[in-house]
Amino acid sequence: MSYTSYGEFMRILRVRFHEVMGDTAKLLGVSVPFVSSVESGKKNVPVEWIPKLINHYKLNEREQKELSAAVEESKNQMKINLYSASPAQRRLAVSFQRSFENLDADTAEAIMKLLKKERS
Amino acid sequence: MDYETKSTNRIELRLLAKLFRSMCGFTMDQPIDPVLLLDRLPELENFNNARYEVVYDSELPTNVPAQCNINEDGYLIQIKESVYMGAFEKKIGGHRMHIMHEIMHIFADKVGFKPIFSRRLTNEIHSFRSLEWIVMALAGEVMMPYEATLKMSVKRIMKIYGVSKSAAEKRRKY
Repeated sequence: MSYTSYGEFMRILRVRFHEVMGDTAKLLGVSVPFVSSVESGKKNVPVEWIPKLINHYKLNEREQKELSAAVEESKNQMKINLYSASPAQRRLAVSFQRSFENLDADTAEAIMKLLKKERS
Repeated sequence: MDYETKSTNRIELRLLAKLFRSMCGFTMDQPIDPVLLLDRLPELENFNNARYEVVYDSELPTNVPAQCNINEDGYLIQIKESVYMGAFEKKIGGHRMHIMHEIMHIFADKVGFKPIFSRRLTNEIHSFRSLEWIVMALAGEVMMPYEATLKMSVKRIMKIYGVSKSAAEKRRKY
């Protein structure tokens, strides 16, 4: 069993600063079980936590980037804003959502390649 | 819930407690804060698949302060919020010991104290073959090192090592 990237990032920070999860909860103004559920990936990292963590641990630029990457990697839910999406984009989003759970690694890789091609 | 495991004795458990202290980089007499140790677990040799979570009290049965789940993916310690807060904020000896107890479940498993039978045993098991007893004794030996506490009073053991009166009394007795 391992922590999420964010959970691991926080664990290492706490060890370095001689803190415990209870200190993190106090810093963020939430309960310890809530902090714990975020670190184990059951809940997304609330965005308002990030500046608090950066200030408290005085994270340098590299560490801030690592934190952002860890937060992204640990997300278990993502939102797609369909407000100004075209009908084709809407259909794609719905279809992707329906198929996501059964997506195998090869298909995921193929879609990633297509999207990369689209961006370049 | 208890399981029968390979037999042991106090002397072996005292040696294992020393081994654990040395794995953690602690001296043989310094007090240990189990709450602080939780985040350090994955850095100990062979503990990289150990993690913990603090859960709302309602998520565990009433009579379970904390538990350690062991499966092929590794080890997961779950601690009730009230137990964690008691150990973290109020430094309650009994709550600190509950946490050390769960950490010792991992250590005991690592050093070979595995259930002999996969099913739960309901009959009473002799102490030295009872996994729960072994883990409890290990937790006591790690929290209150035998040699360091030999000449200490119950009150002093409680003060120095942050344990409950009943734990300190047991240390004096054994």
